[in-house]
Amino acid sequence: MTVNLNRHTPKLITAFSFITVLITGLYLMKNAADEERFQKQEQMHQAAHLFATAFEREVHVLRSIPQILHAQFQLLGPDRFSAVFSSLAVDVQHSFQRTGVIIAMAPAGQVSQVYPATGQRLVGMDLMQGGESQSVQRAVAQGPVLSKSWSLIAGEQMLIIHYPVFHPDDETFWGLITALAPMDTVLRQSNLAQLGQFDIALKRTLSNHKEQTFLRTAVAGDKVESLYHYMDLPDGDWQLLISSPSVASINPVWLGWTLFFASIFALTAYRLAMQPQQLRAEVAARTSELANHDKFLNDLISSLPVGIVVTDTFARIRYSNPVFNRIMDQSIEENQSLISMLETVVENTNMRQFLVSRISLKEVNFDVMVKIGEQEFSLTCTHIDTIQGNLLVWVFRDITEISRINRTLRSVSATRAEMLRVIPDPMAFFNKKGELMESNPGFQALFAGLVDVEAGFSCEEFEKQLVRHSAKPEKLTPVFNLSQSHQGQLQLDTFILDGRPQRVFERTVCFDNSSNTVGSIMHFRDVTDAYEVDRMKTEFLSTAAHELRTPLANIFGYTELLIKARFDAERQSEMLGIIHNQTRRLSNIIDDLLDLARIESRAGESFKFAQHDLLQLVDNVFREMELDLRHHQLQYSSASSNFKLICDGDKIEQVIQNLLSNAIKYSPESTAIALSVNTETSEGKPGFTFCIKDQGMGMSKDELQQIFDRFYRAENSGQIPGTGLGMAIVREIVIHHRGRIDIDSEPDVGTTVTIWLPQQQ
Amino acid sequence: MTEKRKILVVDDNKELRMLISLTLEFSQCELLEADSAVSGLEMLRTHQPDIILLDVMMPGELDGLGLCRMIRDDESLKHIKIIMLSAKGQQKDVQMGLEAGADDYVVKPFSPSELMQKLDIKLDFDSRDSLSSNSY
Repeated sequence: MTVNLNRHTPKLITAFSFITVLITGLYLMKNAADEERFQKQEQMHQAAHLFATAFEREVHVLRSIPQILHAQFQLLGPDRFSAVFSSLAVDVQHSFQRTGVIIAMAPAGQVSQVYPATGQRLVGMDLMQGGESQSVQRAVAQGPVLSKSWSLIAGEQMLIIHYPVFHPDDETFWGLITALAPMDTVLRQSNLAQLGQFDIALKRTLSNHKEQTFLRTAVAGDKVESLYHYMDLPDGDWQLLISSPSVASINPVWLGWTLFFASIFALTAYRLAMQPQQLRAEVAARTSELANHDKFLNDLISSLPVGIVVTDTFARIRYSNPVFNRIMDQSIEENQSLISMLETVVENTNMRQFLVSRISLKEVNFDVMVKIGEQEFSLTCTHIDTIQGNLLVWVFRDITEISRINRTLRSVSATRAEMLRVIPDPMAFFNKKGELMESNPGFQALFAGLVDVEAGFSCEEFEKQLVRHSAKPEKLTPVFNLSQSHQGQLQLDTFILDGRPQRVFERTVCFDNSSNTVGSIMHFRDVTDAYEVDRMKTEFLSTAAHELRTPLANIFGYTELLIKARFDAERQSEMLGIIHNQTRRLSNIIDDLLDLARIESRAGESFKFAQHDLLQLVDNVFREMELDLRHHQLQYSSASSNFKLICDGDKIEQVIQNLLSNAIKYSPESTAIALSVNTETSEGKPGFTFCIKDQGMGMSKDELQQIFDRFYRAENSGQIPGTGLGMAIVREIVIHHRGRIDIDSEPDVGTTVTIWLPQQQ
Repeated sequence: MTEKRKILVVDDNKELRMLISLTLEFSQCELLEADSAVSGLEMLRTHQPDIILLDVMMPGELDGLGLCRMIRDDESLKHIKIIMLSAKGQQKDVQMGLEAGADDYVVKPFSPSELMQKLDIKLDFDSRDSLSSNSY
């Protein structure tokens, strides 16, 4: 075959080559475009990854803090949660350098615990006022909510997450934990430079339809392709646009992240642009306030009158105030051991052991008394959980004076209690309400049967019981009615306690309106003896008057008859005899009464004690009573011849005479009266007895009981003359000689009276 | 006057009973005597006197006041007039005597003639029978 290389062949080759090149070029072009697109995609992918990582980390941090807190909240309960939060929020300044910080809690939807805070301005309040309440509502309804970025007064842009907290019991909404992440950190860590090839623009349309671009990132290329994102900002005025130059396709996930962060970035820029001046001023004011606040706290701690020292959990000193340094009387170095320091100054040797064991067991919240030198301190140790770590705050409070006062009070109180115990008079203290506060043993002993002292009772109750147990309730004045109107001491009434024997008390009440506690003090004085003496005196007078009037009545009557009527001589003589006898009887009564009164009133002081021979005294009486004794048989015996004793001779003679006289009067004629004198030691004291025994009418036991009563005459004494005072006189004389009387008597058999007298007075 | 009025004197004091007896010696009354309240009560029942002169303080279980109350509580005796004679002269003693049922209360020492006048009144005697004018 011949190749006819004609003139058309180059054209074909050229055309072929062109097509080939074109195809190749197109192919290469296509390849190049693909490569570029691929590279761009790769870059976008990497940038998106960085965004995603940074953001997710922040969100995780933000979300984990509330979760931890919430867990603690459930463990500790709502009241303690606040304290824990306070402790965590202590050092927000440090926290600003971190990515996440808890800034507020809002119990029941109200922001209550915020930081930083000063005066009336609360960051948390700003949060609520900034239209965030919708976020709060959303959080309550849907769970944790990430809200838009937010400008902190302290001068940072923050991402906010609201974490709702519900009561573990009834699942009602308790409040929010609001966590913040600093915007700058998020953006910085998101490596925004990677976004350089994207165009981020913040624009707004003015009223004249002219567009104003506020912010534009990357190259403001004209080659803006169709790929862009557009969003309206919350104020409704501004729009955010994000576009990517000449990229055919793009990963939607990547785009989503980009759009989201770009939006946030734009919003931040928008806010910053809108409020730069105000923000700067607020930051300055805030910084100054914080500095002042710090200074104030420092000054406050320094000026507190208690010693304060802050240590770590190994009791190494981090901080101490001047008062503590003064207490220790030495300069304090940082990291010095507080325990070692205390060991050198505290007297209690067990202190170290106590503190070390408490700290090792982590039981650090305690309050103990320590003595340093002459001073006493109350030492409290409190554990605080701060962002800087666990710390112990030790507070030394000087209680020297309080202790001294307490000791004095205790001593006064003990003295008072002892006084109350010793005073035999029943006493009771009632408070303002009339309830028993205290009573003494005297009171408890007397009224144990009336009221339950252990269980307590009211004044009114007590008075009801008094009325019930009083022999003369009409004499009682109710106290509880007086308490309002009286002040000071009031001699109230006489209370006669029913029973045998009746006891009589004078009741005094002291009202104390000035005291806050004591309302009234009730005091009982036992006046039974005085009352009895008084009663006996009245009875004696009445009886004496009766005894005197009886002979007087006869004298008066008979003399009147003699004056007015004419009786024969025999009658007249009889009547005069009666008058004479009655006059003698009167005279005897008066003599005996005077004798008795004299002995009683002088309590034996007028006695003329001298040495006497008892036998001599008996002989004197015999001689004197010779006539009276003549109708009886006197049997006289004495064990020895020496009966010398110290006594008032006349008085002892009177005793013997009275006893003999009774024996004569109350026994029939011709019967024997035996008188014997013997030595006898009584209760270790030497002495003598003389015993007079008759065979007379005797007395019953009841009569014997009353034998010493004044004017008492036995039933069967009948017409036997007597004043009824003889035995009373005998008793008085013997008592004042420190002697003893024994009487044995049996009706119709006879009576034996034995008197014992001591040898010495 | 159809029959003798009976006057009972109850007193442990012998001299006083004799005084009353001498006072009434010239009267037409019959005098009865008792030395204790118990024996006085017996005589009251057996003799039914018109009036009784009663001492208050007497030894024994029953005293004048007790006897007085018994008389006033006894349907067959309550009509008997009672004049108390007592050495107890305080206001409250008189009060107690009258409350016990006595018609009158005379405090010792007393004037025999005055006592007679009181008896006149209680026995409702006219001047002819009057004790005070006829006794001595």
